[in-house]
Amino acid sequence: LSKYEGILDKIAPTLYKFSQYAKYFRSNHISVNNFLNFYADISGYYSSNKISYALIEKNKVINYDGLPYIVYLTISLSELNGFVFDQNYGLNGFITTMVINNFSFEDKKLIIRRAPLYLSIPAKDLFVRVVGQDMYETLRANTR
Amino acid sequence: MLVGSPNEKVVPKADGADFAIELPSFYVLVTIHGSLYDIYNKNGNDHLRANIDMWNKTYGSKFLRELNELDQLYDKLYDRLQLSLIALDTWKIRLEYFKETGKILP
Repeated sequence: LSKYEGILDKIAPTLYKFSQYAKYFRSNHISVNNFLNFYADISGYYSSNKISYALIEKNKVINYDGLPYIVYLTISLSELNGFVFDQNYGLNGFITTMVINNFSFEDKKLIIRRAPLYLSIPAKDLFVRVVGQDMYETLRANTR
Repeated sequence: MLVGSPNEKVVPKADGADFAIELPSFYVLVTIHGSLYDIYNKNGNDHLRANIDMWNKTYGSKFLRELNELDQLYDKLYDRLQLSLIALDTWKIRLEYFKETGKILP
């Protein structure tokens, strides 16, 4: 393998796993919304200077120079001060970005909407709701 | 700028792609196991399969540089990425439980 092939060979299987979770949660987005019992009003990019890295998943038409168009699930892992907050992907970006930043923004507030109210909740509260208290504590103890 | 050596020439080998890895300037279409299908430039419609030699000559070194930067970031965050996958799996289990019972595990 050439060097670039070696890199792709190494990172693709892991990144592919993230894409599979994104597909799963996207196909279960109604259940995700029912589970959360709110709708995030941050329909887009959430930024914070406490974030250094982000994993972002999105569907994208890539081969736009001809038909048929094919939509690919794209994964980016990069140095960014934010992530895409998207319930339709099951909060994958939020969960992953929280962990890879070693919970640096867990005290930052997120704005959510539980009609007719707008609420402000710490990111940690949302994280614990989706993964559970035990997993949260395990991750906090093992993330270096 | 040409790529560093003939050995580093970027050549597509896969028959299709399962997903895409996004780099600052490119979308890299790959299989689950990392076999390369194509690379699309974000700005414009140039892509590797359209003209492999021209693409390598024009964009090869930039692609290799950006992929190398991703590789370094991946290595740096590897342990946390694995923990993230565990967190996502737990979230999936909790969601399945909620779908079956209507209850949320603590």
